[in-house]
Amino acid sequence: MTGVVNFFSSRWVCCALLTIMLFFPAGSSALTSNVELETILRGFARDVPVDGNSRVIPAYTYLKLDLKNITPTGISFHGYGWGRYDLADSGFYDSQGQGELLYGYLEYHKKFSSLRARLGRIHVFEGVANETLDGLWGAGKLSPRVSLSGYAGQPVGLSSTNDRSGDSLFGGRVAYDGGEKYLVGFSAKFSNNDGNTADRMIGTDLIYYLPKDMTLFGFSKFNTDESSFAEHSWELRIPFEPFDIKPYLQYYDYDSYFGTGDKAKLPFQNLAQSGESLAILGVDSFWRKSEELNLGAKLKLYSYDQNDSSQYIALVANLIGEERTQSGGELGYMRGEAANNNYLLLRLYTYQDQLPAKYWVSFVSADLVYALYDKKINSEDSSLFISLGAGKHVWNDALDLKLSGDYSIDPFYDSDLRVMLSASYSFGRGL
Amino acid sequence: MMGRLRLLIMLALLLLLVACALDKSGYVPPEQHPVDAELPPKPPICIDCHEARDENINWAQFNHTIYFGENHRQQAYRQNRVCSMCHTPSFCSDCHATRIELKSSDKNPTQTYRRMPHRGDYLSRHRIDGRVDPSSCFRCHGNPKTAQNCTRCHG
Repeated sequence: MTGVVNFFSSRWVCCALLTIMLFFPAGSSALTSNVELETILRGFARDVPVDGNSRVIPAYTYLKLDLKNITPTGISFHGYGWGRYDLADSGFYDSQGQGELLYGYLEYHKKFSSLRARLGRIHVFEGVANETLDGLWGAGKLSPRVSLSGYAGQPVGLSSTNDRSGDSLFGGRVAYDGGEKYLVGFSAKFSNNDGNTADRMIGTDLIYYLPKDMTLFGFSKFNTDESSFAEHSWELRIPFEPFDIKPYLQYYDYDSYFGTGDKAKLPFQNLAQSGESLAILGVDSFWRKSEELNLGAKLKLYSYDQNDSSQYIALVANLIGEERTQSGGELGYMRGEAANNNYLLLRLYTYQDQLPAKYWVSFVSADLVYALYDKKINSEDSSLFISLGAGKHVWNDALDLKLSGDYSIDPFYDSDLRVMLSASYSFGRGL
Repeated sequence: MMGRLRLLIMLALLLLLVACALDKSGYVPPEQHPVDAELPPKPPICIDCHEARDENINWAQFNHTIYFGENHRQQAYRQNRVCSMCHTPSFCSDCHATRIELKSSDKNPTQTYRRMPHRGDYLSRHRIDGRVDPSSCFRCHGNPKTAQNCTRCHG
């Protein structure tokens, strides 16, 4: 329950709400709000240690809140978080109640401008950053071609180790748009955990336009602590209507990629001292046979400095119908010499939307995943997973009700059955 | 340390003020995809309506082909404003946030058309996939909080 309390007492939530109240003009008629509430009830059985109940019945609530145009100057608030409580008190979880604020920030967005600023809990996904932080983020353009963004604060991902004292994160990205020729960006990210060095990454990203609508994309990341490149990821898109072919090359130096100082945790910590490197050469090919039928094939070749090589090859198909109706599958084979095992993977899925009114449900769904292992895992050489679901949209789609059941038999569970009921409600729509 | 953090925040604010003062935005993508060209629920192929690329955006790279769900990070790293024209941050956070107890394929089990990873018996397969390419695990489980799921078994 402590987690739930922490969630609602999060100082960022309180700060954001207080600031909203301060900024909220009494007669603001332009204010628009969107509130979405999703409640999920799951049920499954697990062997739990010491005095536990084998039945686990977690109830989740996800709350999303968007308040736009809080002030005429373009202030808005966006928040999203979840809370969970195990109704069976099974002991399966570390604590019976848990929760997390995923993001919650005030945003300033100048109209008809690229200038934006956010304050609060923010997820930054740009350049070398894929981080959640409690702090400030801002972005704008210094000229029509030069854009700039920056952030500073405390990283949420490091908050679980020795509280947040000494944790810091800052970085940014500057990009130059070369019009119809190229776009190049330079980014950096520096973080500390408990006063010690964590991430020290700088990187560059590029889009370069080639003749015949071909495009070269990619980025490279450099670990300044290790003084070597951590990652190169480059791909070439070759459109050849109705085909699309994308060869790509990725390279990872384990010492630099996983060597993130005081941030690194098991099992990745060991990899950071392995001296290993991985190069992946792959091709994703795609045939849009018609608007309804897509076919594809993918190949990945993994080679290592020290380990043996591996390969993955797969065929994929997707049949698209009206609304969200889709059916398809993937048949793949992993020759995992590096992992000392191989597997054959078959996945089939369907989602049938807009069912006739004579049925009580609006949609049905099914998913099947079958894996056949070359070497037995826990005395089993295969696993089978089946999921069936159905749902109904009511009140002009304001309320979605969904029921699903999963069954699996695999190396870890003899016969596992899980059920889930969810209701998601969007306030302001329907009724 | 706190003094350093304050200095950094002030620097960030200063940069923002410079951007604010100059504010030469040029082209700005709309906040939302225009309502009169509302997208269908089916996976959008941007170039059905847009040129493959114009002087501002390379639309072809945002085509939601069958691979897009498993391979969209480069687009998001560079031009996530295009993503936000159709998706709210919560759509991204269901998979990419720092602490998500319920993985996305478990939270949305009926959305089978999204071909979400980690479906089925991934507990067994991750032993193989993780050895073959641990970098893909690290992207989402690469900090102490997100690695909590790993440390239960990996110590």
